[in-house]
Amino acid sequence: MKGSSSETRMKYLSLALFAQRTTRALIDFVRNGDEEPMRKSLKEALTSLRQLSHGETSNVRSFMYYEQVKTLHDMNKAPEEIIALLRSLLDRKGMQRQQRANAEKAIEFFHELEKQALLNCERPQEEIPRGIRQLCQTR
Amino acid sequence: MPDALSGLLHDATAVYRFVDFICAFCDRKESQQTYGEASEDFFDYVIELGESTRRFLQSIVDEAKSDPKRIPIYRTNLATIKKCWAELHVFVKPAADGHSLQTPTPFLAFMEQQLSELPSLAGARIVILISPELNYLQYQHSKLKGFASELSRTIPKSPTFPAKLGFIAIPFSQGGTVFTNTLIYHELGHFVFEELNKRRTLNAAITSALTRTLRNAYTSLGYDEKAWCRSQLAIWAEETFCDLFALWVSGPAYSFASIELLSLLGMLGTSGAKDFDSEHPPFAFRFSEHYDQLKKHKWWAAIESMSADHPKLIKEMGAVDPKEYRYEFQELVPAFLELRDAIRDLVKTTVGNRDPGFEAFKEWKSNVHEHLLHGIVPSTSHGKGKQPLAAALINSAFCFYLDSLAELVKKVKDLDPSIVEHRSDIARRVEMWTLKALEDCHLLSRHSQSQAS
Repeated sequence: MKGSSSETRMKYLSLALFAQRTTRALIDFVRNGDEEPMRKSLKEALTSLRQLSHGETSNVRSFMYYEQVKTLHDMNKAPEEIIALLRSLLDRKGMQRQQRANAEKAIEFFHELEKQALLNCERPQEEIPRGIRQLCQTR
Repeated sequence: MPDALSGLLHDATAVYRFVDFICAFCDRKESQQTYGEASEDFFDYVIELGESTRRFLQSIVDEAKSDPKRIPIYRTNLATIKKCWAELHVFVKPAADGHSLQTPTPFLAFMEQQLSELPSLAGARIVILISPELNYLQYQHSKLKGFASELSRTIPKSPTFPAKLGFIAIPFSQGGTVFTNTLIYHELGHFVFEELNKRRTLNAAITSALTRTLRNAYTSLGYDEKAWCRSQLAIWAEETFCDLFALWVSGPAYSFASIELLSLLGMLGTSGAKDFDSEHPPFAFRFSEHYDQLKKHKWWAAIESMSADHPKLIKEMGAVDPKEYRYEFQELVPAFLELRDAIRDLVKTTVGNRDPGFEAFKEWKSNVHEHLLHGIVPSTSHGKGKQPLAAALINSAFCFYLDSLAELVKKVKDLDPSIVEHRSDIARRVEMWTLKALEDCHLLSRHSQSQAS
């Protein structure tokens, strides 16, 4: 274990900033019906989550690095679940009331993501995920 | 006032004061010292970002007043903004220390010019950071640009991060040197890798190498574990890219400087030379790449017969069988080795048709040697040859320093080449003359350009 470097912290903070932007865009949507900034942020998040769930590297800077993917994993929420929620918001599924309820769920998710990124930023760096250790022991 | 709101107000005030202090510090430094244009742009960026951050802090408080149930969210937002400024804080002081009296300005101007000549990097500039670390490779800053862009996107009406701005860190003890500072080229490699988003180019090759070598074991991993594998390979690939980039742009001087630094840190010849760590491939691998590229660019034949140990060490380390490379998770090593060609190709496309500098070295090496041997600044022949003298100065002077320093010491009355103090004094002068020659060449080139136009 070693203390996290500035470069590592910046990766976590980039994700925290992305989550903050998305949360604020969602709050604006709930409060004023302002849809465009929310759609832009959600599209970015959706693209990244889809790439990750297919085992690819995200092209979006906020989810490009392992530390950022790990933060998402630390939240113990399956990407598929979040993908479905964001998809329903982008597709304007349901009545306005349902859309607002979905937006509130998304606000909760992105706020948690921001908090988790800040938490990981403070923690000493964890070197290796458990699954990799198991893989190497069994081969 | 409800407790939660007063707590938020307290936090916002603390962040405001922190930001205010950093901005005032930048402002004060700009008026007290002389900096390069890049550093001034960085300070201006920080000051402007500070203004928008202070406005943003007030807007967070105003929003919280009208929507108190979301105060926990706004407090998290403030915590993020504060941590972001704490990261900028890490860079501001070393940048403030990097004023023109602390840095090898002519060498840096030369590097900026080399950088600007590369495809898509015209106008690239460098901010100098003065580091307390002796090891150039431990000061990480290549993610600053991406991070700053995220910050600018989050804080309304904030400035965009200055275009093509790179950061390099120099140990505070090495500000006046030339030879060791050749390691800066590796740092420039990190800047180029980040600026031109080379990671994206390598992504497909990384995934494919992992799938081919680990097969089902890779495909059955969770998405975070796959990301870890890809990230580890990408880190090693970036380091290799930076080495090869540095070697291409600066020539064998970079290999010599690497050997000098490793020797100073006591890391040469240890069994650890074959070990991967989480940040770097093993030295044995890195020097095998040096060796291959030096041969490919014709440098090797010109340096292998030097009397200094450096070429021998490069060859010895490069000759280690890749089967002896070790890593805690050995399975990743073959996957990484599969990336060799992709990294080499990436360097090639990055530098475009840039001449690796061997022809200039061949033309000027003896001339530079003769000048230095007589204690003359080797810029008197500028503009007289087919190849630019500046391109050959560093490598020629470094070869002189490694092979012929004793010859020069002997020439000076009352000096003895076996006395460390005498050698050290003359070595310092050789570096000063080289630096002066670089400055002369730079000025004379600018003069000829202005005459021509």
